[in-house]
Amino acid sequence: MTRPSLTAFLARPAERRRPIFLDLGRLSVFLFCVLVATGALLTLYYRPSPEDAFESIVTITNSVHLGWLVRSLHRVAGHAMVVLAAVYTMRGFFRRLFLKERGAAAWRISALFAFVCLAFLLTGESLPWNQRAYWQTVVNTNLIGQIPFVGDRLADAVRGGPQVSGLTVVRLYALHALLLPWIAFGLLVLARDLRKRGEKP
Amino acid sequence: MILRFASGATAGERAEVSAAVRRTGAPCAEKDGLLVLDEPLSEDDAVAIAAMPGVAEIGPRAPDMATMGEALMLWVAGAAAILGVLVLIACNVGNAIGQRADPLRTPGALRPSWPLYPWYAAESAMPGRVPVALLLCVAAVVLFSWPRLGRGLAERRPVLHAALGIAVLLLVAALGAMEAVR
Repeated sequence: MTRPSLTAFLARPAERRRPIFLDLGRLSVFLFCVLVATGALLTLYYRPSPEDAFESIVTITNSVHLGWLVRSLHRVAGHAMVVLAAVYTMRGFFRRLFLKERGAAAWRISALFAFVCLAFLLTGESLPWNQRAYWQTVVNTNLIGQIPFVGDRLADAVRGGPQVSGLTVVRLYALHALLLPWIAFGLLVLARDLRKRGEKP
Repeated sequence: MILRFASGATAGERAEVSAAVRRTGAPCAEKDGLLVLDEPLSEDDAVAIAAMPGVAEIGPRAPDMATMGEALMLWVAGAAAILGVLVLIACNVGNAIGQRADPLRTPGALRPSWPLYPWYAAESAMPGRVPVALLLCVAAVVLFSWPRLGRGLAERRPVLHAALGIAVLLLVAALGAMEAVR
């Protein structure tokens, strides 16, 4: 029996893998972690109400120590995540990965993940509740309202009524910080399980 | 360094060899009939251990074999590179806050978020004539069930499959660009 030690652990054989920025799957997990960390920091100061939301963004940007960096990092990583999800889907299409064994399930998970990333971006961009965010929300929800059958109900549920109002920012925040993270987390866990199942036949 | 066990080596022999290697002070770990040593053995130790029962050979590590330490270092370096790029961009995008939302003051250009640009452009280019939202819903369903719908095409006509993908991408990019430059 040997004592568990750090040196022994570090000497253990490991798979040789690509660097993380060339491996789109692990890269999206990494970006997700960055987004969770910066997002958690932002929730400490953000106040989801139509009166306070804008003021709290001003506070985060101008007064909180390094608040501007955390906010910018969250924003940049969020946009990067949407681009990454699109690239990931395109790679699956052009390399025809969906033809492989378990590829169809992987394709469906990645397509759902791309839509979740889109929902993250649409809800997140509205949260500063400035002019741009407000009118973007108006246009976004109008577009979503045009989806046949479910569109108006979906848009009304997100807006909290037929118009963008004070209720909207609370609902968008609940979606962005409470519901969507768990959905994204679940999809990442499913994708990981799928990959593990491939390793051990 | 790598130690390969003989194919008929018993568990007892393997354990004894591992213990002997550890007694020399070299950290090691077993995997797939191999013992991976982080530090090379001295010549005397290597000769002594190579003579033990159950050992096939001792030699330099295969070039494609990595250790946890190397994997960890590679991960840290990659993560630092990504974080560095993100911070660099984050420092340069500026942190404009804009003005407080005012429902009574409509800005000049009304725009959705950028992923919806193609949808908005298609909507405003042909208002009411084409059910854009319906088409998009169909497209989403087709995208989701592409492993079934596109299987035949992808297997038999891969070039046509790629061409279809490029055509759709170009259409979406053109619509998005139309809105972006408006």
